[in-house]
Amino acid sequence: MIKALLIALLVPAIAAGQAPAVQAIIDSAARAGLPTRPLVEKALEGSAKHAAPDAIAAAVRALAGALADARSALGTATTDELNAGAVALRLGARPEDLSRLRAARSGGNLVVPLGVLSDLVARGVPVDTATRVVVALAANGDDEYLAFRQRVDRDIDLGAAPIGSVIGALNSSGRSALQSPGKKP
Amino acid sequence: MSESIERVVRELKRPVAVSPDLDAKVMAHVLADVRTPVPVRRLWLWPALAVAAGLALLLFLPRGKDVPFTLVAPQASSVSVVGDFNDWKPTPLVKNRAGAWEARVRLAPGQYNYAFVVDGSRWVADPAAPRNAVDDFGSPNSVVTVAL
Repeated sequence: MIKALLIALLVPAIAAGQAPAVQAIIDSAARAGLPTRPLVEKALEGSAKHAAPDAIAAAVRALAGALADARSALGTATTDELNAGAVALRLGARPEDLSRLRAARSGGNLVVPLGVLSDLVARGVPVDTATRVVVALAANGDDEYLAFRQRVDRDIDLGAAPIGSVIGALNSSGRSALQSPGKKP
Repeated sequence: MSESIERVVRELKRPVAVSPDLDAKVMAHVLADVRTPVPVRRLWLWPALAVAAGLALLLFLPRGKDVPFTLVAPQASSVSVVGDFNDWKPTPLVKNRAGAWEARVRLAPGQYNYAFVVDGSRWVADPAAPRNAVDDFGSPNSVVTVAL
């Protein structure tokens, strides 16, 4: 009820045409125990960008599916972790990669590692490489992850190829090369 | 001299007239004193209140960091930032002397999508931040990650 009211109030475009579809997706996600806030935010984004109602419903549905997959892969997770995991999955990361990262960083929050994974992919690093790098750095703290990403960004901005910039950043962080998943250098 | 001593002795020996309910009156006063709460200096109260106030601040103050959002757009007449953190409703940026538009937004730890809206209608990703490669609506977002 609250979610429906929120959607109706905040998303005029949806209220005009696609409210039932989006509301059904969000209700279904809620029944499945998934966080609904990211779905509402996705609908709000679509509305703010004047997207077609069908496109908004499709985007919300895709995100709901990715959230469900992220929860299966991560197990118990915060809303932010599920959201970051959903983005990573939609970028091509595999559910088992998320599970491996969870195992490698047990007890630690995964928002920043998953965010860095998505950032690396967005900068052109192949998703397989980005995933292996993020898992290999699992022993690091959030600040080190962010510093690593900044080094990659800087190198790419200076003209390095994305994969070369990742290797360079790994070298400067004391890792000589990409390791096989789960192995330490 | 002896007469005055005798007078004193007589006075001392004179039976004292005592009210028959004296005992009851005395006991009533004693009990009343016992029942009256004695003001105690509760010195522990103030430190406890201070600790409680501190915990309340920790719980209810917005956690996170002031994140700067900047876009260099000297020709623009207005720039705002929209994103997950403000329900995609514009937060206006302020133009500085160098022509850059700036705002600081307090964000809790997490990952947020956002974009700039220039002159009320043109959507621009932040050139200084990573982009979200998932683009559902044909207008790319940038991503900001706030660490714990």
